Amino acid sequence: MPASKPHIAQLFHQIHNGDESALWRLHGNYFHKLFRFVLSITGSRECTEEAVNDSFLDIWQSRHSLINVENPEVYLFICAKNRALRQIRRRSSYDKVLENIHDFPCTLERTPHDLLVSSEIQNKINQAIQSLPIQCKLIFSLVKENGLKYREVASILDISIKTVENQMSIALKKLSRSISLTLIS
Amino acid sequence: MPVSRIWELLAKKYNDEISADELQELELFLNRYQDVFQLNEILSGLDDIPLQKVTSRTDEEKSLAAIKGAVEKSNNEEQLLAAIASASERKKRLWKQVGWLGSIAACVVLVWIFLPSGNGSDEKKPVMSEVATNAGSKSTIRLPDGSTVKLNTNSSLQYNEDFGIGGRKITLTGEAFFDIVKNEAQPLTVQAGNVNITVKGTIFNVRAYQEDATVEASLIEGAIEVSEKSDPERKILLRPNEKILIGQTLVAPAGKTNKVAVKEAVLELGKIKPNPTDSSINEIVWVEDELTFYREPFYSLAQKMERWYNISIRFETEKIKDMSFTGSFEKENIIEALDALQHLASFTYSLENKIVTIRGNE
Repeated sequence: MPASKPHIAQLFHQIHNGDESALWRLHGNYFHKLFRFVLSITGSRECTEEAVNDSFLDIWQSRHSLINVENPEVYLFICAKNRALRQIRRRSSYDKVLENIHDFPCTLERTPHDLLVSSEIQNKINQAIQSLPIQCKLIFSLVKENGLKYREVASILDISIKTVENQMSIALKKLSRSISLTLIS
Repeated sequence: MPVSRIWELLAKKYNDEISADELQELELFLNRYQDVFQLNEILSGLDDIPLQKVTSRTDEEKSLAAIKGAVEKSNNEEQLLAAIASASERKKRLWKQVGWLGSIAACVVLVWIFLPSGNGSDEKKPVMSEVATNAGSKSTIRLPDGSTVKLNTNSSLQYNEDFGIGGRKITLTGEAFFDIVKNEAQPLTVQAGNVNITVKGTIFNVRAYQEDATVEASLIEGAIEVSEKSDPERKILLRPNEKILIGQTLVAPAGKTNKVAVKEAVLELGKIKPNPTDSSINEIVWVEDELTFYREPFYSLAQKMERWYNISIRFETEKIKDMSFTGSFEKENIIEALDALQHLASFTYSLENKIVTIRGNE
């Protein structure tokens, strides 16, 4: 997953130079990822569609200053977050995305990629992910789907790195418990 | 077994944030505890299975189409803003009058009129040069003293051949935008219809179409003195951003049966008001090669178009006046321009005797 990092930096560079096709490629890579993230904030697919589209337009319109963006992926997610917040106009808790998030779908893909994880185990894991506290689930999905670092997730959601670390531990603990693997002291 | 430490390490490894030292530490646990080993295997396997997408191919295509449309619209707006910026830059340059040279359009007729000397009188008439434009062309003239004049459509301008040496005399029919080089010793006079304008060095616009029955002079920079031919002693001094309308207008008589219109003398002093949307000046909008408008309400666009096309526009319905438009006209004639606007708003129009009447559709 982290292998995609230089790729997005390159896309940003091309967009900065006015290459529209790079924006379409960025869309191809990130549309579904941003959608899941924004859906957790807005709770409605309709609002999410609009917010995600607007964030890609934002990227295009701010292309002249994209060269200064340090972390393109974080920038993209923050754009999407801001658009999502604008959709719901929840000004009172503008900074605290995590306190108002909605449940969203988050399961493993159906086709088993690895023989080490049988479909039975996969089902159990899916149930476990679905039953994670939603904040924990959002952090897990950001890490899992986008290979984001703790500090990146922290800056997207405006929370401390420690919180991300704790939530990830909780997520992994619950997932392994669901497949009857518990570490006994 | 230090459970919390193991979870921390596993989470770090899962998230690719584990350091070399921590990895070594984890290795020890993996070798010692079967549970930890198995868990690590599963987590590694989990890493390879992506999450089920929450969107379908259709969602993605729909979004892409919407963004492409929005990007195109945004690009057009950017281009238009750039065009407007460069147009106002052009106007600035025009005003500074440095190297402002337009090409004389092909359809311009340059005629030398040699008035025969000794035609009975002893008075030597000055030899005049003439430049004229037809309905579809505008022209820029560089006068011998370095002054420039932009001539609007259907206009003609005469000046003495020894312009700048033997005085500076101009006769104008139609409309022209003057940028005159300062020369205290040789004041410039513009004769337009029944109006005489005396100038030292300045930028101004004169509109004196024969069919208008009035002469309008608008001063952009400097000072001009305006007087009527019939009353040369009565001089009116114009300051920058002032305009004056002199002449006669036809006034419809009060009684319905009497069809004879009455001519009434007009002398009207007014202010030049820049357009609030783009600070362009209606009186000289025709000087630009392009008529650009950005989110401009119809009523104010109509004022520009009146100048641009030398027509008048009337609205029969109120609502359509506030509809706003973005775009530009260059070579389009009035019919083509109105047809283009009809694509953007629902209205009908009629054109008769250079008067356009616009009716909004309900």
